[in-house]
Amino acid sequence: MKTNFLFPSKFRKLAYAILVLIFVFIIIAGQLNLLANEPQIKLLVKSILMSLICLFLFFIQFSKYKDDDEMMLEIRLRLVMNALLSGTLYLIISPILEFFVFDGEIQEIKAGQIIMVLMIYQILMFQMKRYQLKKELNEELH
Amino acid sequence: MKNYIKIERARHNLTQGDLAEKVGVSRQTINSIETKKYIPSTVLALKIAKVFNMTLDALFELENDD
Repeated sequence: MKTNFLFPSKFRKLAYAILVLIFVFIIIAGQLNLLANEPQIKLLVKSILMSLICLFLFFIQFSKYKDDDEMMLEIRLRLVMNALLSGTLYLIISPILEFFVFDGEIQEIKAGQIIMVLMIYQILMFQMKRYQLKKELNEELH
Repeated sequence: MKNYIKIERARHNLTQGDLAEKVGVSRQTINSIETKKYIPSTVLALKIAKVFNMTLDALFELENDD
């Protein structure tokens, strides 16, 4: 089965290059004290940083591994579905909790934040599942 | 879904790795199919059946809870 929607494994290297870029960007922003500047520049710096992090996570999650086949594709799709469901639940529950339980003002949820959390969830769960499958295979062999 | 892949693999003297290579999937996938943790697609099931020169219904069997 072809897993056409995945990027070639080369894109994982691109993701690591973006990670380096993120660190360079953070160092430069820190050196130039950009976050202490006027709100518009602060917002711009945060937006660029958020976009780079999302891009890094996106390429990490959707780049092909050697063992990517139809079972892995099914695991990936199930994780995307779970992440979407968790994100939707978070969007519904979060304002209710803030208003009734924590007596605070309802905070605006940014799309970048939620995408980042969902990507991290998918990456962690996928790596855990891969590790679990490899462990099961090793146990079967011994 | 019950399957007889492990038995057939032993009969044909194939390792999980050999079978995985023949049908173009990973060893983990063959192991998961054998241990009934993953139900293969029709295409993959047909490929496996072809390796053993068997029909699908001879290799795979529905269980009551399917």
